[in-house]
Amino acid sequence: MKSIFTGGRRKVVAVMAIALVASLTQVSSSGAAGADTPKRGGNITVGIFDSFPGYCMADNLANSSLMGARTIYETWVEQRADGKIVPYLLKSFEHSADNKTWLLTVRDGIKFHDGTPVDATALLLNIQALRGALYVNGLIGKTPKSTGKLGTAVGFTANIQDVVAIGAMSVQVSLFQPESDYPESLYASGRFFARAPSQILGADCSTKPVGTGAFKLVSTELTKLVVAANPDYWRKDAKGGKLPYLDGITFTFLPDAQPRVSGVKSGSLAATMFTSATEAKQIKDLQKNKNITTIISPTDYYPTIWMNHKIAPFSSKNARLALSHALDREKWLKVRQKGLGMVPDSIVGPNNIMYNKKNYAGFDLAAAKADVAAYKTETGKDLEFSLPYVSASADATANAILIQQMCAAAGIKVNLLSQTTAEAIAKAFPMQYQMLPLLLMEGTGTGFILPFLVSDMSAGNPNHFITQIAAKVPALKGLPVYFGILNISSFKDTVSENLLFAARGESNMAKKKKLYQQATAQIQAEAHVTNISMLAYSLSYKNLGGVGELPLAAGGPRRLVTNFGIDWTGVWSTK
Amino acid sequence: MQKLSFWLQRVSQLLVVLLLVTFGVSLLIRIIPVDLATIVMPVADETQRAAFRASIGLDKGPIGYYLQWLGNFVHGDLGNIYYSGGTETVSGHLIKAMPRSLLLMSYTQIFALGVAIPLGVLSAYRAGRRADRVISNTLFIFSSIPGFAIGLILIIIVGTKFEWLPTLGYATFSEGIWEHFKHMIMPVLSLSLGLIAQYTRLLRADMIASLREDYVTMAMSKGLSDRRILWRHVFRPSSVTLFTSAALSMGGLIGGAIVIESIFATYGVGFEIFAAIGGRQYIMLQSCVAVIALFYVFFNLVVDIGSGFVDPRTRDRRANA
Amino acid sequence: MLKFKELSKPTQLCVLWIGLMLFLAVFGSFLPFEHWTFVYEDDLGVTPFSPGHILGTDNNGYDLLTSAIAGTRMSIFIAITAVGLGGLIGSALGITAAFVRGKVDLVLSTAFNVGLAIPNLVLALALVSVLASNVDMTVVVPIWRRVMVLIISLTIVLIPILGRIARGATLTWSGREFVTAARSMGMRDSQIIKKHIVPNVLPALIAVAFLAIGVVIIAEASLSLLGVGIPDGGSWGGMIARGRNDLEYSPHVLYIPVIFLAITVVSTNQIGEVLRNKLDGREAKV
Repeated sequence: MKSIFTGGRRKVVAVMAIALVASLTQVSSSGAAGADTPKRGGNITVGIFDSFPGYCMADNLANSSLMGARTIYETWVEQRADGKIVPYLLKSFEHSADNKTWLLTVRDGIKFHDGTPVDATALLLNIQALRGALYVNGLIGKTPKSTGKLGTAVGFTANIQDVVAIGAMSVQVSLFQPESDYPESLYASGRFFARAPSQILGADCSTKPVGTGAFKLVSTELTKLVVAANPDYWRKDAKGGKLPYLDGITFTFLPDAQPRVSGVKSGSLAATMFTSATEAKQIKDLQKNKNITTIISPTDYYPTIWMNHKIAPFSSKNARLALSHALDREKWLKVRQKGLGMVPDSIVGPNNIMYNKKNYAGFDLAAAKADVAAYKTETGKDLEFSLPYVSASADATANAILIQQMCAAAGIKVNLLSQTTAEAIAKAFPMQYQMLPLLLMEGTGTGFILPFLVSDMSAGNPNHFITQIAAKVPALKGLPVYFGILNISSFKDTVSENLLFAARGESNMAKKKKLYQQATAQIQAEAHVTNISMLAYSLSYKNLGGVGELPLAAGGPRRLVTNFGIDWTGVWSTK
Repeated sequence: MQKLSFWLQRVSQLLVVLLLVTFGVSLLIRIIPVDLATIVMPVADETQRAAFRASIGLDKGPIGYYLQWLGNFVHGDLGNIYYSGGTETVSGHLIKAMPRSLLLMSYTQIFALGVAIPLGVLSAYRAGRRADRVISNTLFIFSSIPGFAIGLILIIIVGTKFEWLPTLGYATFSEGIWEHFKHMIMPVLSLSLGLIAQYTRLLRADMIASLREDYVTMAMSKGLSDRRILWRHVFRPSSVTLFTSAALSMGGLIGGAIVIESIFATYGVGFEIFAAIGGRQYIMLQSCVAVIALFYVFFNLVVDIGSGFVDPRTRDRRANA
Repeated sequence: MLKFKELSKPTQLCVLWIGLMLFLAVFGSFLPFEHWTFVYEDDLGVTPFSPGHILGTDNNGYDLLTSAIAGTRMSIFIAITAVGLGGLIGSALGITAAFVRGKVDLVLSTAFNVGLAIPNLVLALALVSVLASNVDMTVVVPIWRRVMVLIISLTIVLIPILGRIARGATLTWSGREFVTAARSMGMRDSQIIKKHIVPNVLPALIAVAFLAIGVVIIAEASLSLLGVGIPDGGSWGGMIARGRNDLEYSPHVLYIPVIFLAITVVSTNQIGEVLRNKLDGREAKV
């Protein structure tokens, strides 16, 4: 099983650390503003906190390494600053009245770095590769040789019944269940980008990324990505000039915060990213620095405490409620996040369509103690669990110790389970811990939330090709599990699932929102998952111009900074 | 004839050390109570793991595993690094990391010895006097501050406050000689301050002991000049300990600069080893340690040649042993 | 033996400091302080000499004085145990090897060389990583077990270092005329070791052992910086690891454990030096 957490130590550190941040995008006004006229040329180095596990469909690039990959790749659709999904490599997307058929049309005249055109064939191949259909022959063989190629994407694409090319530039996607916001699934929070057919079908899929982006691959290794300007890039700047401005970028993996801070201060790095999960102090410090501009993403990342429903103690609702009630989120915000952010009052943030405060088990020490007592009555045992944390990070350790102390105040015993990143990855999918704080959900929509909250993304549809293959070949019996593997709490709640699927199909926005909120209330009432913070990412830079100024291809501003940083196409070096 | 047998013996001794080190590490890896394939490839499926086990000989016994690894190692195949996107060869990583480590180590040794020898000789010559006290006390304090603390303080002052030197990364010679040295100054300083103290201390102690030897008294009574006595009769024998210690720390510096390498993102061999341990890439660890042991053996031979040259007594004693 | 009053002022201070450290290591947990991980949520990252926090707090809200005291216990305990064990085993093996020579020497020297062929920190890292791994990764490993793993690893690292030094020193002395003379007079080997070898080898060994205490303290700190130290960070190294990322805006968080560590290492070095000089004096009488 490929997890989306193979992005290196920092990702899991960040992820396991849990945190939060500013509710709105903040641009520090004191930044050294670059000249207004773009300057061409120059190579820069950017510090990131994730490594590059690979570029194939099953290799999940996380956060800051995704930023690197997205200089090579572009997505079919993009997210505007207001959260709306708009066409990007696509010219348009249209849907049938029942929201079950979507027609995607590709923009004309775009070429991959290898010179092949971006057309219906390429789009079809990309979707088929993501949903695993490309490996169907391997799957039918006697051994499940190609199952390794089925990534988490299978969960995201499980609702697709069929994909066909219509003409040279269009593809029609048929869905099992109606999905009124299907483009969100096609975006997958910036992860489903256009790979050239030569890469997808080639033997070096993981190491030779070929996309349409403003930069081309020069070299890549686990800790470093070097890209150079793509001379044939399809987009132009406002004056019709060529893009990109920079000659090249080197993304360097720096897992610890200190080298990134000193790097951007000393000028060794032109820019660097931080996560508020463990680096709120650094972000606040850099915000004060007059020579450096620091921009912070919206608080649209929802680290979640996943409580394993399959084993004690969190198979008990009392235990789940006890933990949720025991977490003093205000203290957390103050101590761990230096006030940078907000106290969560729902499992998702206020910008999300599912946001609902109802039934959320917030901090309430008396209630937590009552839950612990109820758990004791129910099972005859004291409430006790193990909290996995990456002891390699001093900040993640302090986070874990604080959770331990908060639980102790409610009478819950927490054993700190010191883990390495590798152990955490091995044990999270499928989930073998009692609980795990892990960042999975994000965004304003549900494209990157639903797969983590339902037990089967194909809604148990027997017509899904993976289900059918698995039924024929005994060795592949476990395959359909891919549809629900992202739900690492392993909970099945038909009430919330029906609400979520109904909401996904609903076209009327008001009704849709209401259904989603009801689902949230149900999940919160059962305390299937809980949280302690909301998370944001930041980018600090010096001597750069044009950051966030280039509009999207379809017009409108791009989100300035996200978990995958910024768009480097329109950025220039003022040095 | 005796000389030849001495060298044959030394070389075979070192070869045995090399074999034992690599076998020891290979055993160490085999005693991990968890399935190695699961650790090294946490996100692979059973088929891939089975193939991995067969490919590195995990299905054989410890000896079979070791022999297969050794066979590959001798042929330049140091194994792979496994991650979800595929594999990278360990040799590819080491080819990039090794020059950085070797240069870092050489600069550090040259700088440390260059400073320590005059300081050590001076403080031994002026033992107990003011110069000695100043040198000894200063170095005492420096030797007590860990290199990484010195590195971090240098970063604040030289790097981010005055922006004199880059705080990160490594520059090859092709990127410019000055650029190369600019990236090396702070790591070398951080690594060498402790060594300077150690070397000076060693040399001083040894020279003071040598100064008490009869032949020194004799030389003095013969009216030889202080300088001549100091360098020829005292420093030369005393330097054995110094150079032995310096050579011994060579191997240590190649792989042991882990913390400094991670602070300055120099990414030498030390960092590769750290990455191997952190990512639980034990095959990589085994091969990296073997490479370091190879260097250790090499420097030991150098020491033998060197110390035999400097102090005939040692050579004779060893030859007789 | 040495009398405290006869020592120089700086040495007296060093002895007092080590005494204080030992006192804190033994009785620190009985002092009327909160546990070091107590979070002072209204005093995050305050500088030294703030009210209530004489050494200030770090950005986690931990009081640095209590952290330092807890760290003293852990760091001193690890250092003394590892050096004690490593020194005893190492010097016994080293002296034996050099004195007995022959096959014993061959085997032991080879063993030392095997240990020395791997850099200290690498060996310690590898040992900790292997020894600390357990079959079921979802089972909590108690902290004391991790401490034992650290001590054992550091001891294994020290044995060849101290052993080789002991061997080298013994070799130098056992070749000397008075040993040959003693042997020709029919003195037994054990007598020679006791009378001639140990007194002469000891100065070097004691100096090295005191240095080794510093080395071990720093090695533990390095392991903590690399994230494989004491899991909860309750040592000086753990404090340094916490302070490292705060370096540019709360430098005192780094300086305080470094100062504790540095003064302790200075003190052990100084005491080692004084002891050696004293023992060196004995040499003149031989």
